[in-house]
Amino acid sequence: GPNAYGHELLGVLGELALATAQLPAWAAPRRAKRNLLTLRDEAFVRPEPLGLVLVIGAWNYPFVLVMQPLIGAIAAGGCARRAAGRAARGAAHRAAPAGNAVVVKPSEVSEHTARLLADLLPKYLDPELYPVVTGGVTETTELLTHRFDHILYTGSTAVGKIVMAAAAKHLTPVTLELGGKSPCYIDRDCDLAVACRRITWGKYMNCGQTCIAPDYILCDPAIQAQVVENIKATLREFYGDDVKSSPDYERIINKRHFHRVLALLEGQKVAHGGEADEASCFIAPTILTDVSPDAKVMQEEIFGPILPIVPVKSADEAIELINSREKPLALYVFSNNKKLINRFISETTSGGVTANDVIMHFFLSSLPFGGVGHSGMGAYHGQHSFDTFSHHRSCLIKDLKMEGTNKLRYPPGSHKKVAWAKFFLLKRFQWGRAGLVALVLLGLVAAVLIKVSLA
Amino acid sequence: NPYAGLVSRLRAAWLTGKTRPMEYRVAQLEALGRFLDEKKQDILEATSLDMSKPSFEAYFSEVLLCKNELNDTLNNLSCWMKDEHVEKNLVTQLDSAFIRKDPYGVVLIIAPWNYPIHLLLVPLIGAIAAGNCVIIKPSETTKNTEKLVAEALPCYLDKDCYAVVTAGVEETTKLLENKFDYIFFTGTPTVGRIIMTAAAKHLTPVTLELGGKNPCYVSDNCEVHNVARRVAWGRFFNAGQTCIAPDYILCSVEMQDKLMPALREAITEFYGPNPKESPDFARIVGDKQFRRIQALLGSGRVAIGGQTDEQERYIAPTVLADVKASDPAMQEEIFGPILPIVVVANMDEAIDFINARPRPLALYVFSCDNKVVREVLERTSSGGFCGNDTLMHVTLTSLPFGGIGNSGLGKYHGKFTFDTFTHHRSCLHRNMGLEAINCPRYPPYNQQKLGLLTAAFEIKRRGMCTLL
Repeated sequence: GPNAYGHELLGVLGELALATAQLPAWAAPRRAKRNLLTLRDEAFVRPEPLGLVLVIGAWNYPFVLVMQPLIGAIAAGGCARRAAGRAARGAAHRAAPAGNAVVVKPSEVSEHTARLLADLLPKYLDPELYPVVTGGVTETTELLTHRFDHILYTGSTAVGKIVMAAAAKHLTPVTLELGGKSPCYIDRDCDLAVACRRITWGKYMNCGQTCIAPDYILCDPAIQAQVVENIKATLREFYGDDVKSSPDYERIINKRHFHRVLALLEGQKVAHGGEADEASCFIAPTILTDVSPDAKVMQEEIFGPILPIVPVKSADEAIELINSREKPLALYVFSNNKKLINRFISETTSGGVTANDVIMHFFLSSLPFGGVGHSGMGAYHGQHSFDTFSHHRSCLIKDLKMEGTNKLRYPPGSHKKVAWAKFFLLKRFQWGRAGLVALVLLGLVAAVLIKVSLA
Repeated sequence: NPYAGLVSRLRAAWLTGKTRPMEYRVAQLEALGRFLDEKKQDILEATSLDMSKPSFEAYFSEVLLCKNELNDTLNNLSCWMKDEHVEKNLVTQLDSAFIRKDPYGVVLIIAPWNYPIHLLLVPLIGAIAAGNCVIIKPSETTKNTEKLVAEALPCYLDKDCYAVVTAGVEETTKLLENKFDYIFFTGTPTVGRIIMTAAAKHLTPVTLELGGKNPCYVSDNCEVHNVARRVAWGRFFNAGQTCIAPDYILCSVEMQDKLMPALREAITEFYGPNPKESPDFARIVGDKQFRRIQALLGSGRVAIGGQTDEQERYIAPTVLADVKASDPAMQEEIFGPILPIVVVANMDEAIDFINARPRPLALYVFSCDNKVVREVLERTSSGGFCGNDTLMHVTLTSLPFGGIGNSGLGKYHGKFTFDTFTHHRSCLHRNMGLEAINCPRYPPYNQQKLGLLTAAFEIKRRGMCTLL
């Protein structure tokens, strides 16, 4: 319903419109600043397609996590000229790339979307260039033995390592969008009602199965009870008194994850929720209080509708706890105190940050979306997708006729030549525009002088 | 693990946040500048002992180009470090949206032997500028330079945050078992694979500067003498031991006949009648490499040079004519002072020849006709490209330097080095108020909310009107 449209389709439509509008600008050669020696030359960076790209999607947002990379990969292909007669899959890409070819591998866990993509995409895109490959672990492992020019994988840290190791055999660059436990710090000095509403939205959307969902809360024990009350109130607002019958509350993707998530409740203080129904893979929105950092629920990414609250006595303690763990995909901090927010950002690291809200940095395509450390490498969205799937080829085109200044670099070496080399090459200080003009003239004079002196 | 202690010591230093303030980074970079100034003579001597690197070449590549990068970085560091504010959409108009430049943490730089100072310092400059702690591993093949770096560099840099490790193959393997936050490697594709596989275990991002056979197409329409000089310079610099050296020439049989005397003239101009006596011609770095390159002399026919002296590890500037694609010289990156010429009928055949092979680190085209240069550029793929010259595209710090496919991944030089060692962290700082604006996104969902969301989020295609 509107949920899927909002989360899956809107974003894709936006990226499509952006890519279509901006493509000429993104694909244009980018002029590079020249030095004295190259002032008369052409220096630019040419974005070129990489060739054969593999996009492996995930099951939590099965459509958008395949389509957004696909858009970037196609966009980076420049004008859609056909790579005539070349099978996209497994092809040893040799000739000048006319555009990227993309192998799309949707997650087999979200099997209906996978089937949909396999049926529909070939009706709109050339299946020779953009084939959809369906299958599970075996098929994906086979696929990864082939050589690609870039692999974008969205999924777990464990599989991310496998993908990178496979890519290493072919020296294939990778973009890995992984996960982790995204911390969410709530300061005592903040509008608690608003903060909790926003957190509730981000946490329980898609039944908690969002890579950038706030995984756990860090806050002062004094406000813990209020946080719980606020979230409970918001949950009622969002899903009504009977969550199970709300059309807007999702389910866990399958039995395996259902059991995995449920097991995290073991030994925990359930302040709200906890109900579950295996038949429909339903787990109620759940809040845990007074959770210890050593608890099982704090050892792995929850990826479910369970929100642990870990009490911390200060921002220092929160920052220390965050830094003692793997780098998360997202970091959230709620506070009216701008200085505190800056402190959190400066003293930690993460893929991305949203302050005073959750999730939202994902929706601004001018911000590169990606992880760091165990939460991933590389980034995409908007122009960053285009750049990810392009090779930025440096080009310098010189004049063949004027030998002039080249003479100072040829052997036999001499002190005189060293002095000239220093003059022309060494960046001593910033040149202003006017200085540059003066240098051009000086350079031309020098070129003539050198020609005369070395003749 | 013999290096676990070192890595954890550096990680502890990293966690103190010592390397992050700009003043600290500038101080370390300035110290590097002093290293280059004060140890200049030692650098020239060490590289001369290691591979008879001519002092002019050593000064140019090991000192001058490094100073260039250093000054470029010092001039621009405050600008590069700043939060980069980005364009906002309708929903985020009242927010602060920016990219924060976060250092990665503890990074590892592994340098090769051919430009042992340059290929160590230039990445190091970027790593320090980006605020990281660094473990530096110079090449064990160039023993004198390795010793210089291991003994002198720590005297200039903060020992808490920067360490030099001397290690051979086995020890480096052990070093790689540790977790780093970034690995920068320059070397061969074979070892590149090993590095990336080791990095995958920790999900460590990498930059790999590798190599390949860099083709050099010479069209019939060209100024032969200039071509000969520029190609000879690029090929025989450092006795051919340059990752971006023109590896082989592709040209017509007529051009081969014209080029040969011009090349002979250029070589004599550069190195005199007996290059062995020229102080401006380097030697091969080691016996193993010498023997490997010597074996390639059996390809085609020796038109210029061909003389060798095992004791001195001297291989004369050599040009091989009529080399075939199946010859030994065409099977591997030459990395020596041998220039094979492969005859092709025309530009199309040259392009097909190039595209049938792994993508090279650099590609060269010589022609007085700009259209020819453009066409080869557009129909091929390579790390970098230089029309009508060799090597020079890497001296511009504004051009990113890196490979593609087998020739590498990632890029650096100038700001690109800083960016390589920086995690670009997206930050959105929102307003706590104006909660009403957020309402359309909250459940319970309905069509009206969806309409509002669509209006707020959707970027419309210019000239189109969507009615939902």
